[in-house]
Amino acid sequence: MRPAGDIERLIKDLSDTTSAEMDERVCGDVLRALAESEQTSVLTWPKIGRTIMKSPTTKLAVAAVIIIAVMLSIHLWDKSTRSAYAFAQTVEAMQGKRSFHIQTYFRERRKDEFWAEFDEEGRLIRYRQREGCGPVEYMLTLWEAGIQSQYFPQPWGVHLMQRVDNTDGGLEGLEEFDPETIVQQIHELVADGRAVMQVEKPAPYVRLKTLRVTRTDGEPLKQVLVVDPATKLVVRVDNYWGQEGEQVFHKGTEVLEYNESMDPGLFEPDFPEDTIVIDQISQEVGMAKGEMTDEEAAVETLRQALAALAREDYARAGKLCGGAPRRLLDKFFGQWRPASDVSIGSPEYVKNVLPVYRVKCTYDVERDGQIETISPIFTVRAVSGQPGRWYVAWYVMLSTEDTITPKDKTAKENNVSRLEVNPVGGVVKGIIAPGVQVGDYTLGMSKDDVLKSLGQPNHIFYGDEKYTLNDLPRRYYMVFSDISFAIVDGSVNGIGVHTPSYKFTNGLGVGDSEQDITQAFGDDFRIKETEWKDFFTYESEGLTFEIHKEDRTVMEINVSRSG
Amino acid sequence: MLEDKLLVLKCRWGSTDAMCRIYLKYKDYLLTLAKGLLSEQAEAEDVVHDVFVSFARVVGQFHLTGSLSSYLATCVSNLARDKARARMRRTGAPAPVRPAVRSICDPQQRAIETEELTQLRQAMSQIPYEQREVVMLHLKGGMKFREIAKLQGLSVSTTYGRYRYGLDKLRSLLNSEGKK
Repeated sequence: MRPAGDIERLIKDLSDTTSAEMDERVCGDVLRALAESEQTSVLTWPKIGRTIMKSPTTKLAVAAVIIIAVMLSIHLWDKSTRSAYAFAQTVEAMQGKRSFHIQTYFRERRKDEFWAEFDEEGRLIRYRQREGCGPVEYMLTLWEAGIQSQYFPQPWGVHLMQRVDNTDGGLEGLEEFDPETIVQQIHELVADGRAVMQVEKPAPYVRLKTLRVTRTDGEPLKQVLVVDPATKLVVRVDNYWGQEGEQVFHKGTEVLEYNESMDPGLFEPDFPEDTIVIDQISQEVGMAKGEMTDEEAAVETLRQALAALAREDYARAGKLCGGAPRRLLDKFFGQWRPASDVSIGSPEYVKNVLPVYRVKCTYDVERDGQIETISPIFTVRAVSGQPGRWYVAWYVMLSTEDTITPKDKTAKENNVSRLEVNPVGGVVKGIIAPGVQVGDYTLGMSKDDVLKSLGQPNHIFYGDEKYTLNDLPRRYYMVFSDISFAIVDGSVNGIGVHTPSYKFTNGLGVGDSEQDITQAFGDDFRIKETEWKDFFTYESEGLTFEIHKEDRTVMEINVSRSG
Repeated sequence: MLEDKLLVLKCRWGSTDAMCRIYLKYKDYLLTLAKGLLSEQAEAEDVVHDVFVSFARVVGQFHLTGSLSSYLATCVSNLARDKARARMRRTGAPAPVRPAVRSICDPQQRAIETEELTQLRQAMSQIPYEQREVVMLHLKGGMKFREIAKLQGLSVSTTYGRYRYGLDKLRSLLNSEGKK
């Protein structure tokens, strides 16, 4: 029998080499395609010119682009001789901006995309911000004339309308990435002697200028600006943090369009039909703070909101929950309706433009006819555009007490502090509580309860044998789409998680790296190696991580009783 | 990785040198991948050709957010899948079950092919396309299961399942071949 590892090695050994004919065909077509594209302005002599020049058609194409390149390089050379003035010209050019379309990056990931328009005085008229990437899951913010519309995608499906004044720093997120602001800040830093700027000597084929700004005031920051010498405008700014030699990319801004006319439709709300609208423009929402401190206001607002929910006074609860309509209360607050007195903890301040507090409560709720004690964490915040009023936001976090039923498990909070349910992120079906449970499934529960909840399993097996529900051995595995159960004598003996649907309260789950796991859970684990994966077992935690042999990411997490 | 970012940036600024370097760097890797997916040399070459031509057309607006090799491997995978489906529609049959080595015209390359690898290529062409895709993208494309799962619109576990089933099937095919 040939071992799997042998086959993997064989596949890795597969190797094909392109023929000279193929190289010639592809290179010819690729260079033609590049020459035809709008971006092709400067070309250099290709290193595989000998191969390319075998083709008469390619010869002509290459000759044409070389002529263009020579003409352009003369033009650019002339410009580059005035590089000493480039940045001053850039500062001036940037001040004339009327609109921009930028893409921002944060630690190698696309963060968001902005479209903004300004008046003659440089004041913001309107903007659109699209956060995240991908066609479906993104948060959209539109702002114009002091009205902000924010769309939170599913699972929220919420459109929040607020008054947001640009003068109180409400739009500071935009300012942070505004290329004009960045350029002005750099200009001031260099003028103050707090930074030095170097103009990089461009390679012959590079049309754009690169400026490197290094701080001399101890700030471990290096900024790299790319400037279009024709327009003097900055087309890209990258920030690198860290000491010299250890700098890593932190964030960047890329200007996609500058002073181009924009489609007015970009700034119109166009959200899905079933979106729940929270209107904080046309109605007074929340609770008046009066003489209370911010902390007292946060606690009192939450107390009143939960009391209104408990007595099913949805008009009052909706107002205290920021103008939430009944549909939103049912969707997001129904599960948090108190069935007992509420114990409210100390509010925890969260840095934001307007004050925001997180407040943990403990109380009983009724679920499926059973009384459960839960400890959700609510977010209470000041209403934007309604000074002195506070409301409870609809996004609620879970605290560890919700899932770790035995009280002596609190020590694990050192490792797994809190799950933040990100309103923009995907749905997390449940929390992995080491040694105890995964989501609603606890160790020791009966297999019948599992089947009642999840229905028919995808398959049942033990070793090489497959089974059906009518033909079960004493010990077997039941596998569902994202979770599996080890059953012994009809009870759950272990739970396996195969997808990121379930996470630890610190947000870790399947797909995260080995390094993330060892950082969170420490090095006190036992290793078992196999051909495809390594098993890291934390016996004292009742946890085993299956780590992929090569990419070193978590493939599966197994929860069992702690040793 | 950093080198790739720089190459892409230079391509965006119109550097043919950078484009050629990308081609030279990834051509064999992508051809191997395409051939593993399609078994047919000519089809595999067409896929690699189309991927690079498309890349040259869009590179002006291209933003590299991950690894270039994964991006190109994904392009190859998408095009190869289209070709495999088109072939299915045309002939009603999956990839031809014939040793890929026979379609290699270059006698030098034919000589290099070991018997073992020839058997592997034959076996590869016999496993379901979905499994072959995961196996090739993971082992030859160097992609993580998470990336492949995203590409295929599946869960990581399903993707990994396909990988395991694919390897099991390959092993069984190769073992039966060995017994002949």
